[in-house]
Amino acid sequence: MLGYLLKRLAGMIPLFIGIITISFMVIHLAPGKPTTLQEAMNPKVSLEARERLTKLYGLDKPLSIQYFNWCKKLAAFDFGVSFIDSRPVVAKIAERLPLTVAINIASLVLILFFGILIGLWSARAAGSLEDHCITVLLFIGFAMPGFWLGLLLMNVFGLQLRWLPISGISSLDFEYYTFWEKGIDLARHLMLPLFVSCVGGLAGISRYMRQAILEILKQPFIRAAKAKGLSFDAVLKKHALPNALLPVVTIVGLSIPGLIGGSVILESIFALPGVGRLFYEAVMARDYPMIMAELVLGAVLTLLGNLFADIAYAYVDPRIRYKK
Amino acid sequence: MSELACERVSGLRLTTPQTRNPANTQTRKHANTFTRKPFTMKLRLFFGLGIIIILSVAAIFAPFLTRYDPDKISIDDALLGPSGAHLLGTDQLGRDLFSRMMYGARISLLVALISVAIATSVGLFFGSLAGFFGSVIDSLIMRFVDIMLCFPAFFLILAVVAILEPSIVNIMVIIGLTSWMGVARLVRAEILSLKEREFILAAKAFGVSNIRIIWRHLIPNALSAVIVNATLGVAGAILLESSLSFLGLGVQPPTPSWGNILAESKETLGVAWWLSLFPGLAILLTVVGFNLLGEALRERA
Amino acid sequence: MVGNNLLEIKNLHIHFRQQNKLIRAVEGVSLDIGEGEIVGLVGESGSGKTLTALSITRILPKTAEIVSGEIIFQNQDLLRVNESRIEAIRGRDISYIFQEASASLNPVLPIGRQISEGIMLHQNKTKKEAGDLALDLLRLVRLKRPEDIVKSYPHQLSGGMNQRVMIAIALSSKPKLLIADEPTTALDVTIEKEIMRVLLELQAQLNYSILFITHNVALVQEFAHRIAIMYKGKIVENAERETIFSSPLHEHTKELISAIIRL
Repeated sequence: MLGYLLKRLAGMIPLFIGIITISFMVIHLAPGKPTTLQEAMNPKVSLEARERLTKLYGLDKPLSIQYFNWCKKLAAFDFGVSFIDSRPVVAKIAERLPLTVAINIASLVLILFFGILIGLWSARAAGSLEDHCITVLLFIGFAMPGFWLGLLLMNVFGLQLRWLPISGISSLDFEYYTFWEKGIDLARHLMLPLFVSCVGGLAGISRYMRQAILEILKQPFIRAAKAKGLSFDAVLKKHALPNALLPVVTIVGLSIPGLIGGSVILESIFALPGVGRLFYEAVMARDYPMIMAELVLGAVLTLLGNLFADIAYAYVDPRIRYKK
Repeated sequence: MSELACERVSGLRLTTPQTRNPANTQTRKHANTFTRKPFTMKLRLFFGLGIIIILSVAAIFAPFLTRYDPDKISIDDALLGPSGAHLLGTDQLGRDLFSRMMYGARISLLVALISVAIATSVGLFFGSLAGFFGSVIDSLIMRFVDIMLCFPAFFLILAVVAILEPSIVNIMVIIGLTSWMGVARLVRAEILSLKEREFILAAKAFGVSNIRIIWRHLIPNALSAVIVNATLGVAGAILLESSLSFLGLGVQPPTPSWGNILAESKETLGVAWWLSLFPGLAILLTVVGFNLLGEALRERA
Repeated sequence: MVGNNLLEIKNLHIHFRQQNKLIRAVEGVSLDIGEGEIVGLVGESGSGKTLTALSITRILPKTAEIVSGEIIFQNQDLLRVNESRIEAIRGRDISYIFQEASASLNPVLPIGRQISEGIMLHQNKTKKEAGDLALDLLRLVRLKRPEDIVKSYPHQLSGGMNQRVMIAIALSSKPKLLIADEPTTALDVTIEKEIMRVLLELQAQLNYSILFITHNVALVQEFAHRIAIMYKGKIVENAERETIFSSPLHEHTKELISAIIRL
């Protein structure tokens, strides 16, 4: 197990170097220089400012030197300062990261819990009307554009029914609330974003789960379990489910980049102060240090998510856990 | 990265209850056959193709099917609800929503199809190189694929959009160049399994050139899987394009696209429900259509 | 040793669906198994012998369908009792061992749990008691170091060991009938001999009946009291072992026997 872990960690090193390199190349090899675009987008940028920028990015130096310098800075965890307000990029990300991570972890937990439940339910009822209805609903959920769903829900629950707030993370007078009121206020603000963030992934996991269970039910050990006298539900719960959970762990790992990428849209619609919205603002303002830092961050989060999924997989699958 | 990465959720199989069984009265509820039911697959094909054909007709013949110029501003007619004159109502500038959506279908489909074509070509190229030549080339390409897959696709796209102007051509290229990795893995896997088959070995023994083997023998055999992937990819590209346009980083107004119509509808959200309902419905239906077709094709493949 | 009839299969018909084609897999099979009797059911693959065996406790694949017939066990027709009744019989009165032992054990559950599961279900025992009994059962099937085995997973054991585990599971609730469906086919000849020895010695000790299904008539020739030959969904011959070998009546029986002699 430990050897497996070390092997996985070692395998991440080249990936990490690749991530850094590609993040650099995306910004520097694309046609046009950051500064000329700054100028085009914002005619007020003076010649002086442009030179200042060129210097700031070290764009007057050859690419190889720029790359080397960038790597050197990264080693010291220095991503430069934001173009918008000259604050360190790392500090800006640090204050916004917890919300995004919290929302994504909460979505993952919800997706897993309900996805497994729905998948199990529809596999148990395979072929029935119930199963057909679930299948159709999941198909629609799978194709649902998240931003549109967000708009519709905001309109219905926020503007028409006025049940839920439609933007931000807390109410204006949040500071004066008691502990419990704060909790309720946060929950009310996060309800719609969490729902929107879960729908797509939920549909994916449920469909996968159903299919996995149906495949597993054809395995010889299911017949053997039935021959012991276990009821269909017990076979499903005690024998099919643990096996079906294995691939789900991998699928969850694979859904992480989608969730992180989706937080840009989610946080933009609901005006949530997370790294997704920060990225969107950086893109709108051509804030290069921030864009590069977010690219690295997104990829590293994905990498960590995958590592976590692999470890979880190794942990739940005894064939890897006790590899001879 | 896990090898399972390119494995997709395989198509659903539907089941029928058992009949004429003297026993199993209790179990009948669960007693299903797991055999595939061709009928539901046909249903998927029918609905998927149906949606896509209607959409294509709308896109191609948009000028003949609409009564209004999609860009014609008429402040007097602003924010009219759906009626006989304006089937789906008008927006805040008095433009006809139905016309804008028909022209928007052109843009959305065009962007999706071309970006998938780019992704598929790039994926085919790298995938077949990796699969056929193996060793160093293979590991270089596949490590590159692994690295690219670490980036959340949406992050990568936004970063590039930040540098390039958001134009329709740029959007197509960017989506194409950030979504070829799945195709590459798929093609590589297909070719690896085909490579050792007798007819390829025979072709090699006859001295057929590598390029010819790849082009004439390997790629055609991997094509059915690639087509399924591309069909599902169109659905993904439509979602991507509309998300980008919704954020104001895709197709730029006044050119209509479903995503930017939705973006504009934010301002009148509480007032004009039709502006936020219909374009989203169009995106949803289109994505459903391509997903249905893709799954139906996969079951046949 | 051989007492009254334990199980009577009467005129069993099973249909099987394969790619929308209906296959009449079992056509009017009748077979009796006496108490403490070992019956060999011999036939080629596809002759319907496995379906017959699975239909006894209704664990057929979902594509197969029992069309008609009766299976009488303890004065009840197993094909018509309700689901909870048949679940109580499965694994307690009638248990199975299958061809691929390694595939018949759940890959992600420890062996101990897979043994005690059935015990807890049928014998109203606590987890602790079931765990102790599991160790006893592993000793019974002569597996060394049962304490380690209960903690291991199927992939860590050999095919032969897994088959012993399956036997332990099958015998855990002292069944009256053990149905063995090609239990040694996937194993080496030497392992096959060991498994057979365990199975037969325990039979002598516990006196359960065995329905032994195989394609290899040579295997049952040594121990079966009676042999039924199955061919294309029908039992073509059913007689005492000696009779089958000394004076086979059906062409197919003769073919099967001459195949051994040639070997």
